[in-house]
Amino acid sequence: MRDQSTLRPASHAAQSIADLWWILFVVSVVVFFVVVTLLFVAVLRRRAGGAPDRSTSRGATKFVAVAGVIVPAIVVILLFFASVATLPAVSPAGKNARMTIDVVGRQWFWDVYYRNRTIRTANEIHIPVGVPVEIRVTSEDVIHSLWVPRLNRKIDVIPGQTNAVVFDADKPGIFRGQCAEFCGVEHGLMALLVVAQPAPQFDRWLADQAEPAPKSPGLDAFVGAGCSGCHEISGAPRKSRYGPDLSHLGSRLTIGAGTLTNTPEHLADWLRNPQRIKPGNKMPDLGLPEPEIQALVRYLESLK
Amino acid sequence: MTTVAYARRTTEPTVEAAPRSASNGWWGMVLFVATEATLFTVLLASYFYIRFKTSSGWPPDGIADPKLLRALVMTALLTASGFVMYAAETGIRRGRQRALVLGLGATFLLGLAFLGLQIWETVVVAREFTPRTDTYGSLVFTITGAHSVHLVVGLLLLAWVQGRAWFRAYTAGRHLGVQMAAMYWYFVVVVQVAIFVSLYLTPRI
Amino acid sequence: MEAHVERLEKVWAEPAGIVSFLTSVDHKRIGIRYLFTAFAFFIAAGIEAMVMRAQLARPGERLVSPETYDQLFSLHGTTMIFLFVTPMLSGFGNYCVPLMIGARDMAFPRLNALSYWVFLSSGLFIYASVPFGLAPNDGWFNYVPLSDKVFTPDKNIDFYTLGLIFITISTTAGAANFIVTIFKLRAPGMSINRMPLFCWAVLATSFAVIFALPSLTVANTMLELERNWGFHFFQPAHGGDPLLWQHLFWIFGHPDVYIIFLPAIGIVSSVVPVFSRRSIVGYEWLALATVLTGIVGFGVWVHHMFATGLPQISMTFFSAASFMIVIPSGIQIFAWLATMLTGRPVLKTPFLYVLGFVVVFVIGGLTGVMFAAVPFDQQATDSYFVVAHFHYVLFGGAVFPIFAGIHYWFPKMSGRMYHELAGQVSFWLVFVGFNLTFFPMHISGLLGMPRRVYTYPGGLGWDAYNLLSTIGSGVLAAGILVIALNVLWSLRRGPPALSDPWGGNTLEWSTSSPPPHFNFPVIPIVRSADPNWDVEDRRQDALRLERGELLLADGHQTLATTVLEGEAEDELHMPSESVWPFVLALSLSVVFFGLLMKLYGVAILGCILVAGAIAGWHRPQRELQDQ
Repeated sequence: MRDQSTLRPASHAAQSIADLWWILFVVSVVVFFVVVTLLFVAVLRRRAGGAPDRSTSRGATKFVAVAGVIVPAIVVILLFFASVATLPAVSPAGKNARMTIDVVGRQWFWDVYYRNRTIRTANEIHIPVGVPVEIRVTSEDVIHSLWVPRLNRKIDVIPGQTNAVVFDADKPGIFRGQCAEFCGVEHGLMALLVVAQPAPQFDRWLADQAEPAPKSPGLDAFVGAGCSGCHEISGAPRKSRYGPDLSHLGSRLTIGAGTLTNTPEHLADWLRNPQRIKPGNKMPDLGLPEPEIQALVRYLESLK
Repeated sequence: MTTVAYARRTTEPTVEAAPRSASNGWWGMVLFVATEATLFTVLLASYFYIRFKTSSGWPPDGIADPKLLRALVMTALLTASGFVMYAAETGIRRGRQRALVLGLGATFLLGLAFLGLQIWETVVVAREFTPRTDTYGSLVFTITGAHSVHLVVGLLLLAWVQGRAWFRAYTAGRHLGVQMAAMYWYFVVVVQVAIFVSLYLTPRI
Repeated sequence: MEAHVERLEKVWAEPAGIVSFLTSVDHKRIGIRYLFTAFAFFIAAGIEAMVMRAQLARPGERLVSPETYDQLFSLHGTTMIFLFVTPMLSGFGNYCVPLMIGARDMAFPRLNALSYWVFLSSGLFIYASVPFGLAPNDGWFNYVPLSDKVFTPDKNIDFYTLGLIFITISTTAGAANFIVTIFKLRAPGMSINRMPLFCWAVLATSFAVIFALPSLTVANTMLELERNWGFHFFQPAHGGDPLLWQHLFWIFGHPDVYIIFLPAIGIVSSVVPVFSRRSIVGYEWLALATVLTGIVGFGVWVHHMFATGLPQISMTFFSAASFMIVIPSGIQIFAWLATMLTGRPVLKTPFLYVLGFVVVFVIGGLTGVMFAAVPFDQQATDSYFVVAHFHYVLFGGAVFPIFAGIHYWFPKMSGRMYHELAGQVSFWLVFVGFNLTFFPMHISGLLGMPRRVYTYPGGLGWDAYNLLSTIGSGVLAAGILVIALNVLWSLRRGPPALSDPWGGNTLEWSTSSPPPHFNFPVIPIVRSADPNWDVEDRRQDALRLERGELLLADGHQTLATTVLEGEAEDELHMPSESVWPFVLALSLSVVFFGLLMKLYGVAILGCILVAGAIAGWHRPQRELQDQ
């Protein structure tokens, strides 16, 4: 369910693109077979030898004009119209979106904001099924590209400008995406998940995300280890947006922007040695003692 | 008969006398000018691209409209030098050595005067903004700077040709060096006109 | 007759040894140097690719670090495009154009030598980054802001920008040289509609170079100024735009792919008539299609930016132009097919590579048409599907013709025949290896695999296709190894070649293999588009040699003709050996070294050396005729 195939569309937009692909594919196969057949005919026919043939053949020149100009012109004009017809499904003009989510591309994770930037999470976007959701994207550093193939085309994430793409899932599911514009050393491990849920579940999830983190002694371990220098936990005193928001880390499916599934063992591995798992990422190895790591894991996994 | 006449006879040309079309060196300079002119076209296109993407006023960041007087004088001087260069070229085509030498000299002096004014202009403008101020500053200084570099190359070319002219290297029928230097100089003049119009006049539209 | 040839040999003789190596302006020697140097860079870029494929053979592989991987893919693309395929085709152009048009050298022989020395210097400049671990690492198109100083503080990007500005000098000079040579130095009677299609291709390419390279130079200059001098062009916080880089780059970058493709199809147009034993069908169509491709190629660049959020109206315009540009290519494919269908194909190695070209390039062209469709592009761009596409058009459209050209002209260049069976074996290894490497990438791309990733997770359905690609790369490498061994072995042990082993139709086959320094003892007279098949005309050349006509032996001489009709108009005296091109290239290296290291005193010193070298170059030579 977490695959990224453009050929398993889960939205009308992705379906339209897949349909367009199949038209392009069939036309290409036909053309290819014509060319290869002509090649085979040319090569396999044997003719008598002699001096080079210098004649000009009217028929041959006519063949070039028809096969080289007229037929391709008709074909590309038809394909152009097919492609223009697909545009509205993919980039709908006008605002039919009923919800807006802001995503900020960062080296090498995704900042995700709901409700006019009052709710913040990371690397996981939840959407209600069957509702067109506008994802507004911008970057705070280099150019990235948001790409969730099963839901829609990719959209570049550029500093200094805001772009948008619409996700309208027609069935519930978990859809994987990845950064699709080279953005530096950990571009390869900058994934995200889009979770499409029935509306009541989505509302519950969003309500949970809006809650501040419960008071807990684990928070002291978090602050004591220096984590709040980069990471924010809602309701906690320190505010830093350098790294991803961890307020509800326990509820997320992956860590490290889709690099590892979110289990206590994986989280402990990450805390011990993030540079080994995602070399060059901006979280340094902290050299924490094992008991502290276990305490942090227990605390973070409790943040649902 | 000459080799050329022999070759022409053998291939049955339609016209008896050998034509004298543009020479290799002329073509070479045309192509060099074409590529450098494209460079300036791209620079000016970048200027207009940034300008049309800038929603606040232009020039941005409270920078004043560029002052016209000095730039107008500079452009007029350089345009005049183009006409003087043309006179020098016409002169040598008619075999007039003095016209060539004087014309080249006057062109050089006018070019030098332009350069002096350009330096003055740059210093004055730099009091208000520099390339490090913003993109507008970077573009203005880069475009005018690139032009000045090309102008200096033009002055060196003129000096070289001038030196050769003193030694009577050129005649009415053979003065490719003059043609090549002239063509390059006209290019430098035309680019300045384009810069003046784009950077100095159009912000006032 | 011997006396005439002896006189030419004496006039054109070159001194031996290292001095000759550094001062030669013979287009044939320079062309061969280009071929060997470019092929060496090809091997380097191929090794970079092999390491990448080893890294991607399995999910989660950690053979190389991501930093190293990023330098590998960036160097691979930059090397293949700037240091292999364009110079390789320049090498063929250098060697073949004067011979094909019946001239004794290029129009500007010393400029030709300079182009080579600058190419070599700029290639070494870029590769000097490798031992320091500072190779370019933001891909061959080097997008900002990642290539800005704040995100890539080390010199990786400066090697890229300065290296490319450096090599642009070589490419532009070469283009001007080709244009003037083709316009002015054709043999008498070779009107423009009788010149070989390879020359049409080089002509169109050279004009594209003149108008496309400045955009790259502006982009690289702006980036250097922004990185090192505090200028602002691409930074939104200072009124700039990162997309300005993309526009400037692709205004160069798209014509660049035609700069690569057009000379290669010039090679195809050379091989097809000879190995089909008939004159080419649709000469005018092919010439027109070549020129149209070069021109329309300037109007499609935005199709590299369809995912950047541009207004739909502009994307639709560029989509239409991108669909249209397939039509000239279609004309060419069917003209070659018609020639083969109405001819008698001879299945030797050069022709096999041309057949491979047709199959592979057509596939690449068809996926190219797919990318013209904006919605499909917006799914498939920046994925492995586009990696497959551009390798099919670049390898199919340029490298297969290059391999054809290597085998076709090997006998002419070396005077020996290559080993035919080895040639055929190499073809099948290359053809199978190439398809095994790159076809699966279409599938992994459609399954969502982005490009430029140093690793990928298992379980997404990509694993098998990546493994197939890696295996394919080994087969492909084996094929290329066979080509290299065939060339090296045959240079020593190949049987002597005739002047015309293939029954060729163009003038290079009318002179010996290898040609003498002066190419032709007499300037040939041309009356058709297949002059070497005009047996009577070539006999007349031999008679003229006996009578000492059209000999032009008073120095390094050739004939200038008019641009369109090819009417003789002047005798040209051309320069012989000169050290100044080498000195000038060295001086330019000093300038670029100074700029790279931010030692501006060194850079200024270099400029003075450059001025001195140019002055030395232009000191009036007794030999040169000042027209």
